[in-house]
Amino acid sequence: MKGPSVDICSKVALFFLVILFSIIFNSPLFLFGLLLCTLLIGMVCSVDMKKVATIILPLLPVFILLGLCSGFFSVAEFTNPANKAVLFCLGDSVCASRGGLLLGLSYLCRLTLMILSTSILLQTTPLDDFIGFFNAIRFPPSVSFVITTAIRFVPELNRRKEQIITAQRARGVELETGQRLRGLKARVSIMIPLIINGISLAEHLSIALLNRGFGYSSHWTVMKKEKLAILDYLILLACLVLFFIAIFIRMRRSWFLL
Amino acid sequence: MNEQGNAISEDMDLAISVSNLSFQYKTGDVPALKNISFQLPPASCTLIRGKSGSGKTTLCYCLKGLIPQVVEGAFSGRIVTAGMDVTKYRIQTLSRHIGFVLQDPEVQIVGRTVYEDLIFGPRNLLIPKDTIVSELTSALLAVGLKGYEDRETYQLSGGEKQRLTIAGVLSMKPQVLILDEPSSELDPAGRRSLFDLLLRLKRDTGLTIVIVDQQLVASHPLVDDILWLRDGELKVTDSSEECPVSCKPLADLPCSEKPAVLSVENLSFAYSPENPVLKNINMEIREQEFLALVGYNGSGKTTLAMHLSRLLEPQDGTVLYKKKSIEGYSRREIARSIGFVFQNPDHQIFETSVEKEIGFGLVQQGLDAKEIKEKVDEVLRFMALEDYRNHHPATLPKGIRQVIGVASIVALSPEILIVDEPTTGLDTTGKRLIMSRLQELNEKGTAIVMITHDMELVQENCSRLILLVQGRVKVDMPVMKALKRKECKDFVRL
Repeated sequence: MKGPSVDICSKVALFFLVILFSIIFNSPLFLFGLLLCTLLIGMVCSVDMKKVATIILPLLPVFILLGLCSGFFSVAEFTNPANKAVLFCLGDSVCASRGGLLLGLSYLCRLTLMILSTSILLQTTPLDDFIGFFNAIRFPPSVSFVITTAIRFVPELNRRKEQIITAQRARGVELETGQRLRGLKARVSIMIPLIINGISLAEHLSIALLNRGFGYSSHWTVMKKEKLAILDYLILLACLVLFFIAIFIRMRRSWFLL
Repeated sequence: MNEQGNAISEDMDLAISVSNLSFQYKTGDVPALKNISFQLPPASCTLIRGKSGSGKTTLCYCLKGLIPQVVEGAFSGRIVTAGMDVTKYRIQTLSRHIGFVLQDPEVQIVGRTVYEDLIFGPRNLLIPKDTIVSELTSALLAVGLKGYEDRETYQLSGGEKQRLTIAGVLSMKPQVLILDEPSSELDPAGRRSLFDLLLRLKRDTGLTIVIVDQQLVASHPLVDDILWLRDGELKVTDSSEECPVSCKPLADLPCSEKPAVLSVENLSFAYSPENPVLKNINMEIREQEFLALVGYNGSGKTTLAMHLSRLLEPQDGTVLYKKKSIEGYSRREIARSIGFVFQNPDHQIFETSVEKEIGFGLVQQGLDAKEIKEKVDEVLRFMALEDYRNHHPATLPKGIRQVIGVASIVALSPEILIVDEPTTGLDTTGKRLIMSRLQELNEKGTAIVMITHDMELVQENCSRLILLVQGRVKVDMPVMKALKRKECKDFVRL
């Protein structure tokens, strides 16, 4: 992955800052701006945006539905009185408020932001760096390895899912069928082999790990001593300053809030 | 686990010593291994042979100590491998001395890149960083993967993954290497290079090798000794296994003169624009033909076969079934006319009985219960699966599951049957059963397209051969004529 070389500590600090901003502020304009900035960072880091799109696009209808529901059913207390204004009603009791719809947009931006920032972090960071980071923050090695191995095997499980779907299609299974019961049965024919394959994969993986000496000691050979560069110190300092500014604004001001 | 006391055994001059070994799985009805005793010298290679379910893999697990430490069951006897009693040491400690390569490389690769994966074992063993780095290149060189350090592991071909798996185990410097069906998914060239590598390691480093492999012939210079297993017992020899598949003399099988039922015109396909998999393919399949589709790992065989049954849509060119574009047929119509048996039966098995599994495709076709029952009975008889009718498919051995996979497609009575590596990992009996059924179907009128790396099967059963090289058809002619071509000789390395 090309792009500026930044230590994992800086990446994780930036990641958590973005997540924090997206949680404590709910102005859609602010969140959209944050989304654009994150997108720009992703592009600078040569992140494969097609991969990110394949994750976000299938979820988009759910996000939009969530946003619309929030427009009608939001019970949030709005800081700005104008946001309490009712825009229109469906029937007598179901009314859409300005703030509710804006909050829906915020949810849309927030969820997209979370997926995008997670994708950037995962795509630009080798597993080895994650393991090193977990070790540095005194995470138990077994826990850190479980997390990193899970990340490694997501594409493998996805590949197996595709193989299973293809194998069942060869027997005439049609997933997109008009009949509900038939569609359900078709999905069962995918799910059961996938679960059995997943169990078998886990079983073989545990044997393979033992074969490779995993658990021989509670430590392992450190291949790379993490050294922070000037850019990392600057990023960490900026993150720290922005963190306190964000907390201050959230406590004392009503900026970036609906 | 006590690793003290008799840490180093008295059997130091032997690489492996097994005495009175018996084992029965917790869920098994009969012992998987019965009173086995043998001794193997260092720097030797022993081939373990036997039918499916004879206990070959179980014996490998015992030699590594996974039985009784990881797999539960009734264990008795004594096993000393690389001078260590395998019941007295943790598996991780044994791994420093005993390497074990499983059949499926996918589940053994834990690193994102070749470099990450290769250093995983030595790092666990706390080998110093400088030693790991200095020995990395030689490990890659040994398996022919020099220069692959930064390659992402998911991009490697099946053969490359298998070699990486072996390199990962070798990087831990074991004295004994156990391999369970390491060549089952390799093409002839990959297989040959694997066996050459093992031979070099045995001669140059004094590595003791125990290998289970259906493709490795006893006369290969790698093999010093053979252990024959039958029903969990060690036999002196097993004459039924001596002759692979069949001993009938090879004859030039006549090609079908009947009209083409499926034809491919100018087919090209790429999963990503920079890596075209199929390049301008033109071919046809005639009625009642027995066609072999062969090629190196990653040459595009399965991708081409998936186009033949419309499991993939062509990006360029067309596939015509009965002179009409295959895209004009529904999924159900294609499933009924062009069957596809995948290599791994576990990708499709999901029903609770063999009977229901075979009937599943017929249910999808909308047949009524009476028709389904009649057809299932017929197929159970035809595929010799009647004894397993009510068994849960997932509990049956791999060989039987493979037969069930074929049976579930045969039940649809397709006009063309595509089988992807139908005999991988099967013993001689299993191979004979599958091949005889395919022959019978062919004689009854079904056109068969068989993807395989087993050239003996091709010579004995197929009339025509298509060799794919880097996504292009290099050879398309009768088998015996094709085998005389330079491209085929290079592929088979006869």
